Amino acid sequence: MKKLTFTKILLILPLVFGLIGCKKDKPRDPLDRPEPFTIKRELTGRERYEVINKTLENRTRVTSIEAYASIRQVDHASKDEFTISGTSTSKFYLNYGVKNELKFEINEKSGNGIEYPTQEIALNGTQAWKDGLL
Amino acid sequence: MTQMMKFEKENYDYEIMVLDEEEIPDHRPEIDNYYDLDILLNNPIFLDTEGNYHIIEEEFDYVVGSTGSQYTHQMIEMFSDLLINKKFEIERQYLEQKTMIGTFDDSNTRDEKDLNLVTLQKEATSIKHGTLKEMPKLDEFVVGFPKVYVRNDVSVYRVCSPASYDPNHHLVVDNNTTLWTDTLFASSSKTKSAGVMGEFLVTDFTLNKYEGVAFNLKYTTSKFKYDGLLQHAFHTDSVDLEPGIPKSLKDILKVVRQGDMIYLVYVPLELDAPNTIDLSVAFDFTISCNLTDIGDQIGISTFTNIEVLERIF
Repeated sequence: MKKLTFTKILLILPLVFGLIGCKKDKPRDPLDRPEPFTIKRELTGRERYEVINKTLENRTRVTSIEAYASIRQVDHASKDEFTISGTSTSKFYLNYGVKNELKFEINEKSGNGIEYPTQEIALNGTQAWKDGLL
Repeated sequence: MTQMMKFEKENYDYEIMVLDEEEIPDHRPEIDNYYDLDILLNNPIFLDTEGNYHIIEEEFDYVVGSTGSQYTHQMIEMFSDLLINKKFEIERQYLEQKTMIGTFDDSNTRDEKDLNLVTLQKEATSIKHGTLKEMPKLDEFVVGFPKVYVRNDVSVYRVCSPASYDPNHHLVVDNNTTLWTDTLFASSSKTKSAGVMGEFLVTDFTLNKYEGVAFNLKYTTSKFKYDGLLQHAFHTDSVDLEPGIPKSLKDILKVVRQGDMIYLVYVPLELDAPNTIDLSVAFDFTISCNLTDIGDQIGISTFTNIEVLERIF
């Protein structure tokens, strides 16, 4: 009987570990501070020069920029709160083409606890070049 | 709990510039915000154990100021990290800035937990690199780009002229005589179809007996020329306020159409009626535009939600 139970446990274990492995990670807030890293050393002047040069060369290969921002202000005396948060996406294409999408919202709450209506603002832009006209 | 209010307002802008292929810069100006030469050149670069490069900026300030017997403590912390990967691509940028304030009876340095947060700013950017491709549906975008659009400078030009009954008992406006004119701003936004929509409201409008006032919507359309320059055309459309006159005022407010002008005239019935009437006038408008076969610009205005009300305050 004991042997049977042990065998059952052995059979179930891979399934349990498999499920743990498949467990979805909580999506990371893009505004969370990046994971800590360990500095190995500071670059020499010559190495810096090489890194900067090669990095600047890569400007022409940027295909997209996703940006996230959030600002929260609290008045020290009145406790009025003001929050602005949003995201922007820029996608870059050949011939100076770009599609920009910016979305942000503004929230205000007074020190008395009054929450003012949220303002949602979206700005989209497309710029494309064709046959001499931009 | 405050219910969220929703106002939807869209505004579209169209612009054409001339730029030859050889003049096209090799990268967009938006990218330079992250490839800022000042940041790259003026900071040390650190190599991490994963083979990536970091440009780190950190600041910490603690300031104490006194006002009478009180001390205001201010702490400012800033941290930023620009990550350049092994392939020399800026992969992400992170910035965090925090300001904390506290008021105390002494100037002894306090811990962060004893201070109140007044500003917290966070920014994070993720940058991807690769081979640039042709913009999807570029031809569709170019074909669909408007050839003509309405400019966002809409106003209402009012003209006041005397009115009287002619021998045939027809109410006529003497449009050779102008008593006064003015121009009022009309709030508007551009539509996706290169037109304009907006609203007009005037609440302090006084109309004298036997005077007619025309409300003329003035706007401009612009046509893109082959050289990227614009050709403007100016339009004036008189607003027919008749649908907005309430039953109670129909006997004393008359609409007179003369040529392209439409006047609103105050004609009281009784002899002892007041010499003036105070009114408010409101309407919504949409303006679209097009080109004729020979390339002339035409504007089409539509008026809705017209209201002419007697002002009682």
